[in-house]
Amino acid sequence: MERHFGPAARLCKADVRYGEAHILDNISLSIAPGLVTAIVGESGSGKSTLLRLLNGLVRPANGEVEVFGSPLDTSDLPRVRRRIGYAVQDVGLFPHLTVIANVLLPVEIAEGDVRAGRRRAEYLMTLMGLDPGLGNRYPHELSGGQQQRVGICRAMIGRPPLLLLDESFSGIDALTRTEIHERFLRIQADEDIAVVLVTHDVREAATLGRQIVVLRSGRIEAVGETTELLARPPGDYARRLMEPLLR
Amino acid sequence: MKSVTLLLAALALLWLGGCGGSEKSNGTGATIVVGSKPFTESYVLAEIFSQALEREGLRVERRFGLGSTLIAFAALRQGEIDVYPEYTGTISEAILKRPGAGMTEISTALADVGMRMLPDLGFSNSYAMAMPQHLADERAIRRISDLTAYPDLRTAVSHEFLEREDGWPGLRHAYGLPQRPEGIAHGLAYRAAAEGRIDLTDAYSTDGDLAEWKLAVIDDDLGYFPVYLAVPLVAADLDPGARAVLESLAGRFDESLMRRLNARAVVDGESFANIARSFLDNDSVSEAGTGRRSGVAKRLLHNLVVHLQLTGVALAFASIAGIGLAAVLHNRPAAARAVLYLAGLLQTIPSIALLALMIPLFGVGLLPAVVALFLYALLPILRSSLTALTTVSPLLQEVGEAMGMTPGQRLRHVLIPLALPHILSGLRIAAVICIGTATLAAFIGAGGLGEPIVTGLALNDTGLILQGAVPAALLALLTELLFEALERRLVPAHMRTSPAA
Repeated sequence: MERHFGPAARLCKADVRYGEAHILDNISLSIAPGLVTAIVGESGSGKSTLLRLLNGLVRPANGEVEVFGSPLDTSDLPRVRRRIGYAVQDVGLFPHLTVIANVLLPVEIAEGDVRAGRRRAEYLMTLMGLDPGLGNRYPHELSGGQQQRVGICRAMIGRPPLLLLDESFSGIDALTRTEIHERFLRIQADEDIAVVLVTHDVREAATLGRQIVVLRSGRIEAVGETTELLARPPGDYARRLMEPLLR
Repeated sequence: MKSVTLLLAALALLWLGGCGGSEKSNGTGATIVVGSKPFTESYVLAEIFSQALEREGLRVERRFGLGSTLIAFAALRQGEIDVYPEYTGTISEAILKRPGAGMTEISTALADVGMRMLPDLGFSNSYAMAMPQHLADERAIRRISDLTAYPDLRTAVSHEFLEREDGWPGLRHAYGLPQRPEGIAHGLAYRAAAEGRIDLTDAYSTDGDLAEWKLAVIDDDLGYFPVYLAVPLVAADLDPGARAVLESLAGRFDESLMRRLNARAVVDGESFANIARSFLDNDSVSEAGTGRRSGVAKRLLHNLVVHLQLTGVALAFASIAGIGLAAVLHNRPAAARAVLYLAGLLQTIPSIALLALMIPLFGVGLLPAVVALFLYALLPILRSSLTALTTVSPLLQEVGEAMGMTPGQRLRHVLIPLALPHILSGLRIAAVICIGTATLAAFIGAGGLGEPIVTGLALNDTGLILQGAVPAALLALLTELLFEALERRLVPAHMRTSPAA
């Protein structure tokens, strides 16, 4: 797999409009390789749209999107997307496939080694606290939190260098979540994955994110190293948002 | 893609297997294709033609029971059949639309369309009006003129008679008849009259069962009905040997002989093959040969196989076309709507009419029937596939897209499996429709389970009708079960649509 140095992804003065409405406005942002970047902000601030810019589901009206060191190649999106894991907010497991078939689907479409994929699926599921025996069930037979974790496993099955997570831990109950967070960080570090995590939960952002981006009404309100940002929240909005962490 | 190619190849083979034996060829050892219209006398004469030809060593293929004069005539014109029994009056009035044309005029007009009328068989089967004997006696009705005094007579005439210029419209005009007739299948009319459900119907003067049903023929006192001499109507390029055989039948019949032959079929339930054989034996064209007579089981099996071929091929192509079209159209709502309207329009064409419309395009036999069935099967498949594809969750489609699926992979891994439950239910409906509609294909010479039904209707033989109807019903039931099993195999339990599953 080609290796590049520099940011895993980069947005440069990107605008997204939906009719008259500015969903994202003049966004410039670098996603550091091998680190977790957390995006926080109120609902409607454009967090999910920002994720969808990175895998080409949304195209910018102006500005540029770069992934893995080169402009997002819209002529061959499938090839790029196979290197970007994506877990959507609504989980989106396929109801006609068993859990294990869902997890293995990215391997199958990339014509990868399904047997190796199966071993990795078991590893990932165990890591995410899922009994591999659940593999033969259908998604609707699992709880919401379990389904979310299956979604994460599916996004990670192909060892993507860039992983986009949209509220992917929100349905997991609080006790389990702490455990899952730790395990997730371990594998993220092991495999040197650049992660962009969208969350409305600033605690989660602070736990997982090395870098935090604060979005407000489609603009970047603040961006910085997590420790830095917590120590000196720039501006009222960021301070209010981070309130729960500042005791 | 490879599997699609294979499937198409398999279908083509199946198709060839279905039609291969039935292609008409000219040249040495030519097969003569004999047709008939779906009423007793036409069957009897066509079978006599066939056996006479076979006795001279010619190969014969029978395409009996062609749905109407127009269908039979079109089949002859298209070269799908070589000969069928027709009547001079029908040729001049209904086909050439030249009422009162003389023989020479008719011959010239026929020559223009590549046909020839051979010398007549020796009898005229004219139209007549008939009513229950007791009613005729009661009201002293002897002549058609007498009918003007009874506008209350419940009248039902065959559909063809109702429309033909030389049928009811002309008759009503000539006599000033006040009755308002309904249309009825000719095979049912006599029974209806005998059972007192109608009072007046059209009849053929050589019908064998007029006496059986205690029906009186009303005298055509104004001499309105033209003469209907029975003739073999043949393709102009018919093999000269075959023509000689058919010409040798000229003048061998008279009206009472024909009525007796018809009665043996309708009243005594004798097979056409037997009647033809004994006629030819007595009349001795040459020594006895055997027609191809097969038992009920064998005939049933043959009809079933043809039926399955018809519906199977039509359904397979309709599935490919319907699902393919749906895949192309599901994200183009305007085009989808237009195509759905068109498919819906096709569906509203009555099946027998659609089958008849296929003849100018595809002749008679399997091909036009398959095309018609294909068109019928298309709508349910297309509609359910479109519904299925348009209701597939946009979220899941996007998940597939974001995963890096190519459009083809999205179709295969997301759209089709999620759409499958609906698609299957569409296929199931289409299959059952096809099996039912295919029974009508016998009217255009495609055979199948409709063949005993059409013949049974002509002979008023309930047993024969059931020989087609019961297997067709069972086949439909079996198809339902088959689709249920298929659904159970392909669709996870929580996604099935059928109530039974």
